[in-house]
Amino acid sequence: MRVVQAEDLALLLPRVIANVVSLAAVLAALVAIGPTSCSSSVPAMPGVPDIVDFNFHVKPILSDRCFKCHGPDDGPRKGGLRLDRHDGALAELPSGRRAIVPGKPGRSELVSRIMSTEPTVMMPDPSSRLTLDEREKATLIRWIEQGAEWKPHWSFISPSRPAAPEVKASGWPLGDIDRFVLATLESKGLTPSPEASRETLLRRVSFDLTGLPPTIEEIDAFVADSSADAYEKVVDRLLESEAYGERMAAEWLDVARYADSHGYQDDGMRQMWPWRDWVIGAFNRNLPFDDLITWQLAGDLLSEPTQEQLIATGFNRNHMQSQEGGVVPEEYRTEYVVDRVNTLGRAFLGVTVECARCHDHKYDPVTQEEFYRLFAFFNNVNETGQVPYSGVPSPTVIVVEADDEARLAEIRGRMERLEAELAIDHPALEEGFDRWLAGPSPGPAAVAKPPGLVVHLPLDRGERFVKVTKGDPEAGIPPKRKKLLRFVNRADPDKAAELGGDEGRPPETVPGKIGGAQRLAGDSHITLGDSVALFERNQPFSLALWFRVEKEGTAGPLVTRCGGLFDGNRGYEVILHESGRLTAGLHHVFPDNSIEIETAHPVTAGAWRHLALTYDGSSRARGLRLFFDGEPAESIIVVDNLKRSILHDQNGKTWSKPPSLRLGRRHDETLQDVSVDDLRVYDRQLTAFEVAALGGSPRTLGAARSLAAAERSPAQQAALREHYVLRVAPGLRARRAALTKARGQENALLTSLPEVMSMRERSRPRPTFVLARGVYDAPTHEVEAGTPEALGTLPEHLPPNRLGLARWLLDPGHPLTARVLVNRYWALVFGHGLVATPADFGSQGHLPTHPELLDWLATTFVESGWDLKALIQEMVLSATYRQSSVADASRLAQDPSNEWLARGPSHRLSAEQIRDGALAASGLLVRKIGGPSVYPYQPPGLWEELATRNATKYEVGHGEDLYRRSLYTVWKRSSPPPSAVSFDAADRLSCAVKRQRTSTPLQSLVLLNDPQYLEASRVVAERMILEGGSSAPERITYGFRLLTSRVPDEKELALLESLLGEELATFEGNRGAARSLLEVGERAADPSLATAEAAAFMVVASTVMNYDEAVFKR
Amino acid sequence: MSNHDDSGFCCDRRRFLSTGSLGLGAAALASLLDPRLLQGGEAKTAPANGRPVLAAPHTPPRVRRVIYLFQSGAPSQLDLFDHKPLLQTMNGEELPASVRMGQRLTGMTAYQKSFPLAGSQFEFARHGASGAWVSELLPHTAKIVDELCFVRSMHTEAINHDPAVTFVQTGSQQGGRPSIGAWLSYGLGSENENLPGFIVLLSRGRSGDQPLYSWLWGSGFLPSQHQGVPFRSGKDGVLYLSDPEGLDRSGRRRMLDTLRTMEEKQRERVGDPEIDARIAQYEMAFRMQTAVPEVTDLSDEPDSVIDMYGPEARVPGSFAANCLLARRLAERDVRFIQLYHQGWDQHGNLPKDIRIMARSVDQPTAALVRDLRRRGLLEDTLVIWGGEFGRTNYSQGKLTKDDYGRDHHPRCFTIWMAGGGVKKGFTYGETDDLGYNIVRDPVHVHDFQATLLHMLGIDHERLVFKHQGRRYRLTDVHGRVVPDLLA
Repeated sequence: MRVVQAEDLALLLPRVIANVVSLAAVLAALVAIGPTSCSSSVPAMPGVPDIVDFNFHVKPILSDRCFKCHGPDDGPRKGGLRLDRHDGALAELPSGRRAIVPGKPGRSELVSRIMSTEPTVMMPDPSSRLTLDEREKATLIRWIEQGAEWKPHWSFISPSRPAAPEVKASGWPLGDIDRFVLATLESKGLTPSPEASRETLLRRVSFDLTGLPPTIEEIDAFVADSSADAYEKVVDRLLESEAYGERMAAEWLDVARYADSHGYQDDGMRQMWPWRDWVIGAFNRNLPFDDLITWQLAGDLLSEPTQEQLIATGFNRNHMQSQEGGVVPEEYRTEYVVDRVNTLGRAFLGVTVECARCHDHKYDPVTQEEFYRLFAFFNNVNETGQVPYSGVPSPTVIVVEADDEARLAEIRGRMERLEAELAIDHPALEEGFDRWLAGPSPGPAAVAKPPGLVVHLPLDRGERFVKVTKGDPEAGIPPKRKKLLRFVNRADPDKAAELGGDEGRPPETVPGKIGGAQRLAGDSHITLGDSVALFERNQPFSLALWFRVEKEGTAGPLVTRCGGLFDGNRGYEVILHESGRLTAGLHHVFPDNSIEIETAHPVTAGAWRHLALTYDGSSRARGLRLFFDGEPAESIIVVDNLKRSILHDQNGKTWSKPPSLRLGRRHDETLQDVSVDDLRVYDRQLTAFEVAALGGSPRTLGAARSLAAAERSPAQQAALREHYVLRVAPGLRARRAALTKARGQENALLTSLPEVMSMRERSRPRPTFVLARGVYDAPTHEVEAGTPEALGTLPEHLPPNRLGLARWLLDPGHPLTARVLVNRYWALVFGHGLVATPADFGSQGHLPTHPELLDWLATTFVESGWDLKALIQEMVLSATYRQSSVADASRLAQDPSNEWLARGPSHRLSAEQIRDGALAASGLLVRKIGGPSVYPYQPPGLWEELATRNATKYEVGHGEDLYRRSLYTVWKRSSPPPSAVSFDAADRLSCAVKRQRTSTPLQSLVLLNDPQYLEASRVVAERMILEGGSSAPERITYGFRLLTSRVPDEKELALLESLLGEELATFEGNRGAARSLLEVGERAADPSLATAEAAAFMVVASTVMNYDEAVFKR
Repeated sequence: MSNHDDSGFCCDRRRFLSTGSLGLGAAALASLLDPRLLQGGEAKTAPANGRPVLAAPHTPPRVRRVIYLFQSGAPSQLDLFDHKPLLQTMNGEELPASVRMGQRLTGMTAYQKSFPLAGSQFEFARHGASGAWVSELLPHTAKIVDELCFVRSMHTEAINHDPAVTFVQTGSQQGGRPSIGAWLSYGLGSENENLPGFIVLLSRGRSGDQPLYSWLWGSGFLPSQHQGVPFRSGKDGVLYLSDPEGLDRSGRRRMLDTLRTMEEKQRERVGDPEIDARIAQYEMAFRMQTAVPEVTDLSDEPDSVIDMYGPEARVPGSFAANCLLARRLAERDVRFIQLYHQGWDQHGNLPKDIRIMARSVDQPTAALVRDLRRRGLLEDTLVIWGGEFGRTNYSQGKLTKDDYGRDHHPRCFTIWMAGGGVKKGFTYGETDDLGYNIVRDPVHVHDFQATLLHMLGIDHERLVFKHQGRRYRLTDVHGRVVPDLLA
């Protein structure tokens, strides 16, 4: 027998004495017996397991109290000790000691530290505000004594399918689930509860699978069905009903942080309901769950994705997005990407990866770098951080239904035919082209003054004039006289350009390329009127000007006719970038519903350059060209995805009025230190030779014509053909007009269709950096997309993009995904998960109550082909599920929260279920699936008192819209439906996988006084009188059944009868009051009913609607 | 320290019972469990508002309640409190880069090519025995400066409204965390059995300014009964408060009595202690139906009192009416009374619009402080006045003889506090001569929050809630109490 070393004893003893009695006993035993003794040094202590399991008993303590300083995060690690890894925990420390010496608590520094009461020695360090209780200390000591066995974290090991255990009461289980549950019950000395009554069971399973109560007919049928598979038939019916998809979708909307508004401060409305409807449909046709997730994470990256696969990707655009003026877009875009990573963590991985945004995870093996490797998967979406007030934030998918598809195909067919006929190499044009070439040279004049000039600003000098602006007498603003500058427009003298912006900072007149020029000063700009140079995306047009960059690195808008980010940059623009490169773009909503090209070579400062832009009306990036000094500028395509109108909404639903053509400004941005000269705008596509003439290029039309055919380059040949087609060939005008018209029709149709946000990658990958402290403007080093090592690295054969991520996530061997999912569906059915922390399967999460059952469910789910209906069916068919939920005193005492499942599930229904249940009971419920969200009753003024712009008014709907299922109720994030919020609906600000279940007085007020419930009570009352029978007890029984799905017992009946009698007497004495009461709601009261009687029954119905069994699953 | 978490909201009470069944000795049990929660096993006597998680304050509280007059949109400190003669001298000159020191700008002035310094157009004077500077915009406030504790060195991180307001109210720039009032309700509970412990009052000084959002008074991951309850003007002071037309109080009582008897029998039948909680909530709802109209009905206030708050006090839903209502709520021991007053976002037209705003708050604010003091309530109430950030010392847009605007400025702003616990007639912190940077005693938003909690007897590092495996607190991992502010 070996005795604890003297120095250890010296360390330990004083603290032992100072400690509380029970611990003193523990440690006394430790000291006396020594570690090699066959008996335990830690005496039996309640709550301390005899055999200590690392994962179940030790790790939760180490994680929660020690990892903050001795965990995975390298940053704050103290004393060189790392306790989250076996080697680290056993290693010799810089101090020469070892935290843990297996089997030898007396020599383990950890033990002496946790037993110490000396503030400078004791652990946890008092400044951490963390403490260990006696039981926890004893557990750690016993674990070390038992050899400090180490195991990998349970949830990071792939589940293998366990065999169902043997049970004693072999007659009870109906399936494997029951065997797992029963084995645990038997080990705890618990016995299952009897099966619930048929009414209770039917109500339970109906709510769980469809979110709706059974009808009385369904109850009667089930109660009367004596066949052996009566219940199985019910389950099949419910799983096949369309309400099933709505029920599952309601839960998924929380996971997907779905809402009908953008969130953040301005919180304008968005249109994501087609995504929501896709979810409902996907659940209803039981889309295999691996597809369900893959499509949502990466549908756009599948080969030739279908429209629905694209719509599914809206999952990762459902997060909040900011419209707030003045935000730094990159700050918010970073938040969006972070949200997607956090959602991945919560919804699928069950790992709180979000903790690693700012530093290595404190508890789980996820480094900060690994967080940004996950970030990289979601960082390449072609989006912007500040989303517009007008238009759907791009990228998007336009939802084309069957009718529109046919129309679209017809238009596109016409477009294709006309485009082919107008193609420069169309055979029918061959002969004319040759004849033209062979003919006499037209001379330089033919291209010197191209037709179609709509703007010509020589910009030689500004003329002073006085502009009188209209005041606003109502706001007390008097008319103002402003001294401004005006610039001649030779193409249309009535439409001169003017100085805009800060009139105190006018451009300076400088010597120009042709006469004078204007050097832009910033904070001001040159603007044309609203009616000039307005082009839709189907209309060809061209721009040309001379410009000179006066200072290297100058950046800003050169020529624009578009709004800023507020308007998605809608319109067209040429922008000078700091790099000296230029971009030209046409935008519906920047940056993805756009075409944009960028010049390859920078413009240097100090020289006059001629710039031309030509556009052919095709909405294709290659139809947009830039020229420098009359020569085509080498450019690359940034985006080629313009699908909708580039004009401001005709109905005025835009932030600003349509901007006019401006030099040196786009929204708030201005340009300075650039001089501009001789701006021309044409309402047609200029040919290369016309541009060459304007820009002074020697490659003139005459020069090209004069070459022999063999000597011409392909480019020259093409330019000649194009010039012939656009400028010379006879009889093409009508065809060109027809093409423009067809493109316009396509544009009008596409612009009118629903459009939803979706995922689409940028053509040029955006690099990802680790962000110091998680802050957008503190990038450190670049990282590649990848998965956290502890969860399994991304296999080589998978692409390092979202599709690869999805494939990795849904690999059958993935340790987490299936477990996390089955746990959530278990919670949906049983009220709480086998793991009580559904978003955290890591060190700080709860351990599974039934680890083998969890693994059995997970592996069964994967092997079934991710068949959700089969999984849920297995659960609800189990004997475990069918038990009565009644808790007798002993069961309640032994297992208050029903972790061990010795009784059936029971909990308050969700916000949606309570409202839908009341509507269903009354028969008011409208069973229409999908479509735009609806506006049921809401007290007036709620949106108005918070919102100051965008959707400021809640307009209560009418008719069917008042009675739709609750998942269709409009969800505005800054002002969500108050009755739903009262009942703990998720806030939809971020991914939520679990709702609270509280009881509050506000809930009582909703059920008692919300017109939605009062109206439903009144309609239930009408049904009681009209359908319930002739006597009061019959009618009460009928109403009670509608609302609770069961027959009232004698006491309940007597109480309600007595209430009815009192109310009847009261209302007969005051029919006015009865009439007022019956007036609630839009549905008219049945005039055939006696007022007092209807009102009295309404009070009875309302009472039952507030009763336990109307709002609780039992 | 409390280790409560969100793994089983509905089950807390049950869990205590189950832990009890482990058979630990009473002493050990007491060290493991919060004794007040243990009593919660007696559900029938549990207060409807839920028990406070803190059995006792960490330190002796200086105040019992808070009235927070939040000035949404961010009032210009340079035109109200932070007097900068040099700025007036240098009016129109460019903001020196040496002063700006790389401060990032909002997208509204980031593209501005010129940053002309804008001196205030309003006269400043020193007031009271304490000699505090207040501009002519706030003549009533000027008369109570000897009650006030000014902090001129507040600073924050966000440069836009939503993240900045959310930061002040919840300690995080992203919405979804519990707000100050929710933390207090959770930590300290309610002292009034008939009213919520966290009440929100909304008003607007002008239309068309910045909006507000309900997550500012949300409970985040805390149990939802701790969320702020908006009190509204009009028929229903609280949503769904009024019984429907035609159902009188006795009818409602009969209905609730029937319901209660049924619920009690159901409790016996199904054995679920949650039913007791529901019964209690219905009773509280019934009491609220009396208590809320009683407190929101100002008709029992004498004219002399209403006149003190100014003519707007007769307009329901105005800031003045809300100030008066705040006093009535404070009298009834509501823990956290949160006012929001919209309209302070003066990017342009500042001289005109700030006048409107100042007029809407000045008299009622001063009246509230006076009224509280007169009633002896100021000693144990903390009143706070301030916005989410400051405003720039340069003009947004063109600076003219009679007009300028100011953009958002996170580096300094002024708030004031009054009431029990804070120094009276005291000014803390200092900004540079151009009012751009703090030169002495900076107070970060987290420091302010830590100090606020301290005044209520809470150690901001010890009021925590475990969520997603992590212990969260109002001040995240930051904040320090500013002892110099304490009386």
